[in-house]
Amino acid sequence: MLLLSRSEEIILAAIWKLKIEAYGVTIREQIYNDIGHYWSFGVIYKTLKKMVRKEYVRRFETDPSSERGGRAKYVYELTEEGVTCLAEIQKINADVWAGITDLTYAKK
Amino acid sequence: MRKNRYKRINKGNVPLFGRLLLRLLMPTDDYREFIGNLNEIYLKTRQHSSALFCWFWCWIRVIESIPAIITETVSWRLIMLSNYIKVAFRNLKKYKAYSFINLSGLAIGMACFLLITLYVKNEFRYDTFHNDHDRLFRVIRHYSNSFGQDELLVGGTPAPIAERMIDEMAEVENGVTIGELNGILTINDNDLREVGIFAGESFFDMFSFVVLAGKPKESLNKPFTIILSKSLSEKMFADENPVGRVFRFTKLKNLSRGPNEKEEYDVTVTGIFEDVPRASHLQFEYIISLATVASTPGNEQRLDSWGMSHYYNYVKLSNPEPGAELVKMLEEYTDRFRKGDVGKYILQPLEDIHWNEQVVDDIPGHGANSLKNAYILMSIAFVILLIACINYMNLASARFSVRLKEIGLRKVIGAEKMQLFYQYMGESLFMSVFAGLIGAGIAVAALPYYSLLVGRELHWTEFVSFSSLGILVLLTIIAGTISGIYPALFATGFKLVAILQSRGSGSKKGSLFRNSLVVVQYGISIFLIASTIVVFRQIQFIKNSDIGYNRENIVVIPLQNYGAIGKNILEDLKANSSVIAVSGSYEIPLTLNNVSHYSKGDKSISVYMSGIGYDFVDVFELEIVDGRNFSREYGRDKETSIIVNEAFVEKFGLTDPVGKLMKPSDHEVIGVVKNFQQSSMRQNIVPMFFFLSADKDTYITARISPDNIPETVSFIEETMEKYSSESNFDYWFQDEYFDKIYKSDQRAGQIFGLFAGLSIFIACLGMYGLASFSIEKRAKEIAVRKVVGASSFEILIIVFRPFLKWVVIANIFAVPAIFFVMNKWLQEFIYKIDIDVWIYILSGLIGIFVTILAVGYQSYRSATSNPVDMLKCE
Repeated sequence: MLLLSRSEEIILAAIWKLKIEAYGVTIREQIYNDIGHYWSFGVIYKTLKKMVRKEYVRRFETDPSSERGGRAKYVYELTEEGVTCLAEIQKINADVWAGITDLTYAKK
Repeated sequence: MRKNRYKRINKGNVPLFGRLLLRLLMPTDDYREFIGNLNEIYLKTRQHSSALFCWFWCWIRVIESIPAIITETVSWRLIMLSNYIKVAFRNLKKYKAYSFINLSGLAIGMACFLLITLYVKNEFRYDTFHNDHDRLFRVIRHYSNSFGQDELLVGGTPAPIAERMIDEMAEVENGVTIGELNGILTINDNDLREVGIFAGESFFDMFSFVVLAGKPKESLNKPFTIILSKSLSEKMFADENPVGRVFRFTKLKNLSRGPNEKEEYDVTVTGIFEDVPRASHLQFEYIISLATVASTPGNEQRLDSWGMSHYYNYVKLSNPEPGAELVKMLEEYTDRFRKGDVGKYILQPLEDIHWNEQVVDDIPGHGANSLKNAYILMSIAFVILLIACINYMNLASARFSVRLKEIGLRKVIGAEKMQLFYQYMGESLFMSVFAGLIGAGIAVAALPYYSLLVGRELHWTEFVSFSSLGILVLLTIIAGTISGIYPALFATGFKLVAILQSRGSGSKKGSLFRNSLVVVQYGISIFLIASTIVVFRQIQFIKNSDIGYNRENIVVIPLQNYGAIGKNILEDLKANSSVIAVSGSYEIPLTLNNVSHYSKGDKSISVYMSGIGYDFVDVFELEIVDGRNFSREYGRDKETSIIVNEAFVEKFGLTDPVGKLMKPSDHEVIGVVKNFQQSSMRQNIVPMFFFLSADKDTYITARISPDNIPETVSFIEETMEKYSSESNFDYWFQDEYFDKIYKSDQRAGQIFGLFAGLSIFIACLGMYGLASFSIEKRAKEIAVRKVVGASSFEILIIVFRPFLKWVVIANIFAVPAIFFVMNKWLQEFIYKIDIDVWIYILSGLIGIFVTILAVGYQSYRSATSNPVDMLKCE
């Protein structure tokens, strides 16, 4: 299993949290909520494309909705492989951070 | 519906340029997603913020995204590019014959184009290196309806004219008089025979020849001064500084000017100038000051005389356009200074000199070119390039029907139309760049031979100029685009389903297009073959046509010393049994330079005259149709007798010419010679007469026996040396002189021949490629036919038929073109061939023969192959 890059991990997690409402605007919001600043659409776009190619996420074109003035949304959804990946990274992260409780100790 | 939605999004709130930028950088789908997201946030933000803020906000979102988008897109495009290059190379390697044909055709085409443009460019460069060359003019004489010609331009003018123009016309800023000069420079007992010019002191002000040593303004203002070219100075003085050195100069008489005093004087070197550029109509190794002419005994009045048009006058005007007043004033010069002459003085632009073949009595040493030939060559260059491009188009689009699977697969995995288009366009550009490099190599390698052919010294360094490289790059791009556009459109136009359903063969429409291209190609080639045949035949015709005299085996010897010696030489030559007849003449035999007038009723008519010796008619085997030849038995022959040609009789309307007295000088016509060709076949035979110039002869002409020519010539040489103080014995054969006149036509013929041949070769390459392709495609059909019992011969017929059909159709198109264009070309000649039917038939047959050659090998192989090999693979 390949390691995910940090940006991939963040976006995958965002999509997971958003469930069925994951598309450009909401993903960007979610990332802001998670890490505290906005990413450019370009970076999100690039990373999403890469993960579409790796088949961690799928992209759909929804029916036009009134909320976007009759325009279609491009919605993202995790594939099974994506979920597995996310689960794995969660586990790895937990393992990596295990035993580290107080970082101020290291600074001393 | 899809379209509608797309349109609305485009009308969104994202700034227009931002949208365009994104559109350029992203695939369509992604772009829509991106804009959609931006719009959504924009609308939300817009509810509580100003439009300006939102506008900025949008821009910032776009700009901050660009780096990521670019790395994404560009990296993929690079990956695709490397794939395209890989595929292109694989195809190159896989179909070696095809690639070779394609590349070599294109490369040869480009080489031809480069060589032709180089030559034409060189021709157009003539005399343009002078500063203000557009304001430089030469004064020439213009005659209309005189001397039996509709129009006649004469280069020579009287010496005082330039000086006079500077004095009288405000518009004339400067002027210089130039005289032709040929002489022997003697230094330390070494004789060098070189061509130079006489020139007035303002020469270097007028023309931008570079003076390396000495003062340009003072180098030519005193008599007996000379300024040398750099290479001549090196030849004479090696590395020493020649300025101030004195040496002996012996002026030789001007061959086309008739007698001159032979002059010898010491000259002082006053400077050195950079060698004259090749692209100059003035060609000279040294300049002697014009003042020298008037400083030799007996010539004091020479430069003031309006009677001798032996000089060339150049003026510099203040404007590139001569004013009407100047033109009028100049025209009046004839009446003011040369009563009786009907010629008018006109100005000829400096750049026109190289292109005007019409001017007779032009300064020697410069080969004028015809503008028409340059244009014809240029069109041939484009035609050859077109043929090469058609080749590429044909072969590539034919090849694509083999590459259908590749195209299909690319489409299946999502290639967009534009992507396919770019791929095949790129492939063809890549080929043309490759071909361009090879073509440039071929052109450079062929340049020395080509220079010989065109008679100009071209050097490969001339390729390395901004404009030449520009041409090469442009050419490559144009050739690549032209040849790639059809295959590219062809490849992208396929319907996916159709590709995957059908196995192989391209659409019917495609093959129709290809066939018509082949027809065009062959039509052009057949046209070029026929044109070459016509040009060559016309030249042959001119050389072999009845010119009214026998020009074979005549030796012409210009005398350096004449008078009594001439008579002795004549006697000596006569004594040799190999010399059949010998005579003298006043000018180069049968050329027309001197003019006289006779009256018809009250009208004065100008006619050419030519002075000859007693036996001249026998030497040239002119045919006397009425009356008699000059004879020593009649004393008055020397004074008043003339022999006229038939054109003369006609011009003056003489019914019984022999014995007529011509007014006003009462010359008696004693004989009439059959019309003979005087100078160029492009000109009419003009009225002229011969008079006896026995004692003043400056040329000796001898008809020698066709056996033992070398021995006879060495005998003549010995005889000449006996009488001449100089070892410079000069002679030529009359037929060589005659050939020289047609050199430019002959040269044009050879160049046309070469390029016509090459274009046919390229067309053949294409034909060969197409044939092998079509046979490959029909391999199974042929094999099945053979199995069912077709003979090899029948198979050959089947394979040949379509190709022959094209050639025949091409012929149908070519014939009217040949008829029209070649008749136009021939119009210029007074004596011309008819374009016989056999020429059309022959060129058509050559076309067919060449096709058979090209297609034959392939067809033969397929006709004799074992059908099992073709069928077993499935």
